[in-house]
Amino acid sequence: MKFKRILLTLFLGIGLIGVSIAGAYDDWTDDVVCMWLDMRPTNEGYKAEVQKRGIGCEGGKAVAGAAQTNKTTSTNKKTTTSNRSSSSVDKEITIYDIAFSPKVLEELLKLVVSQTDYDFSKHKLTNNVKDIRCAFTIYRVVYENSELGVMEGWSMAKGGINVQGSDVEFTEGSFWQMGGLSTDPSYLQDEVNIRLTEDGHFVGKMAYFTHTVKEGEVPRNPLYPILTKHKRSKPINLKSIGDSAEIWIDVEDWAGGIMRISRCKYL
Amino acid sequence: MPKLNLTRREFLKVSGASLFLAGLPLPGFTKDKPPGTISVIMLEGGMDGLTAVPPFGDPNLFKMRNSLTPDNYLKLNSFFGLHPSFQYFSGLMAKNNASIVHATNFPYILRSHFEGQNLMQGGGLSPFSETSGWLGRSLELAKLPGRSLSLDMPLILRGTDRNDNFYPASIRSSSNLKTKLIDMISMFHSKEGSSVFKKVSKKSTQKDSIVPRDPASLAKYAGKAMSQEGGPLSSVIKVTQFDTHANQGADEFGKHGKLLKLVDEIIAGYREGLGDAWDNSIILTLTEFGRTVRVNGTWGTEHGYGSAGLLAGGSITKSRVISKWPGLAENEQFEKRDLMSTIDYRSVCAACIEKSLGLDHDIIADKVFFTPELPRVYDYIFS
Repeated sequence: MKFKRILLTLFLGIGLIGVSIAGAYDDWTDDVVCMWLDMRPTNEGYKAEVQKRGIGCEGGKAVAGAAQTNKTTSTNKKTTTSNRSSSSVDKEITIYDIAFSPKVLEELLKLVVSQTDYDFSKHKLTNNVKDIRCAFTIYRVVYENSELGVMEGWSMAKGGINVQGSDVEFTEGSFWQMGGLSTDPSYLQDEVNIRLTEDGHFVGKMAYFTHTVKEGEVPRNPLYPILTKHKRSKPINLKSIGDSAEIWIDVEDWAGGIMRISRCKYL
Repeated sequence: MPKLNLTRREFLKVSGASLFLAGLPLPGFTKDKPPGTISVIMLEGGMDGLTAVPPFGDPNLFKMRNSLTPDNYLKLNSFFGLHPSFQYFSGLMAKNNASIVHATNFPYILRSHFEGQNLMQGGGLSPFSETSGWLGRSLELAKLPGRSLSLDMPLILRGTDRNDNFYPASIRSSSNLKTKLIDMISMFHSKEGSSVFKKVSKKSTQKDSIVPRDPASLAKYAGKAMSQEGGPLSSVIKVTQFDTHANQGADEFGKHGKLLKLVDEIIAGYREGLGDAWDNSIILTLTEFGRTVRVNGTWGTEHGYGSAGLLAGGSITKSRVISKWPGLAENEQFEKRDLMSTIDYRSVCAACIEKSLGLDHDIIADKVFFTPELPRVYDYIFS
């Protein structure tokens, strides 16, 4: 009998120790914790439990995604702790791969084009030109009062051109004189994609400033006209490169441009 | 003096797009050049993730918001679609340079613009708990003092005392006037105060002021600046007016659709401006919350919870939609009204910081977002 009493005491003692070691809310679900916090928002025990679990409560219910709000957890970052290991990876996330049909894919790929991208495949480009250097000047042609256009007497841009193979590049020191963004020399360096054709035309696209912007006026972005074989152009004579040339450029309805090319020579 | 009666909502609507640049590496100060650049597009007002990226594979989508879902969405796969306003973005997805994280947001559920915007910029544990921003803290950890192109310093970039700012505006004959005014004010200050005014005076004549103010041009300008050797490593563009309570529209011509088009143009602007620097770039969108699943009585939506995040850049090498889809049935919605957020968007931001600035995830989780247990989603986005 005495032995039974000892056993019972031991059993109850171990049980009580167990209860005291386990957290008071360990068997509560997140929703239950939030429900009690909702009823007693100042209770430190419930607040600490919410913080410990890293959950948020809204309207007496637990919110997924550890949403912590002013209402329930005005948490001090220094006291934020977690039993979860750092760098944990959320394994429930699904990757939904992109699956375009070949036809759709082909169409979509055409949408990502640079403003100076140009398809040169329809042109016969020259490929045997070696290091030609020319001077260039761009003038504005205004069509407002004349169908044929009137060339203005001042230059919009000037500088030098290098031709290598069929690639046409503006030399360093070339510049636009249209104010605003045009004063940034990178437009003549980085935003030009022009090639020389076998018959001496320039084709491709380039950043082009057709409006003058004075100090303090709203800056204007450049336009990106297509340079093509213009019927009024006088192409570069590759057999006699010293001859001057005129490349006509259609820009807008009211105005276009002429790029005059002169003093070409082999370097 | 005329009385200006602005409601809270009107105030949110009148603010335009703004650009902020930050993270200029300092010679001799920055330890190593970070691996890439990070750009943030803040979509203020609450972007509707269910319209932007309609989960047409969920049978409840058309039951609940047929009038807000465009007919001509692009099928990304058998479950998710893409709004037709995202023409350029869809091309980037085809090129494996863009991804989407869906049913996500910052852990904020109280649906206030001011609190939500503060939290998405501050990255703290509760609104208004931080005086610095998560991007600013990241730049500070990477030892990259920054420069912001704005009159103010947005919260998202605050975090280093070496930050500098500039406002890209140009007013006719303003330089001379501004310089004179600043000189006069500086006369009454000495030492440090005077040097600050001298800096401001110098800035008022800087060429940086020649920048068009439309968002796409700002993005291109930002991209160009970031592509330069020694240029900024971070930029932030803010777009407002996503708060479409009425006449939200479904297609690209609707109110929300036009704003999505603007986001598309900004991403295109970045791509254009970044040039070769695109390969190491990451662009991500932020919004303070999503919108309700159901249409309201004025053909719009109310403030919600979960939304979608758009990611673009050469740092992404495989396009995908990343989601732990919660479902749209009423019992699957947050408080029976919103798309549930199942991915903490801070994890997405952390992954982008890790990729672009080369910081360790555990450091970002602890020092930037004050949440050591923040899950790492890097591999989902960049593997």
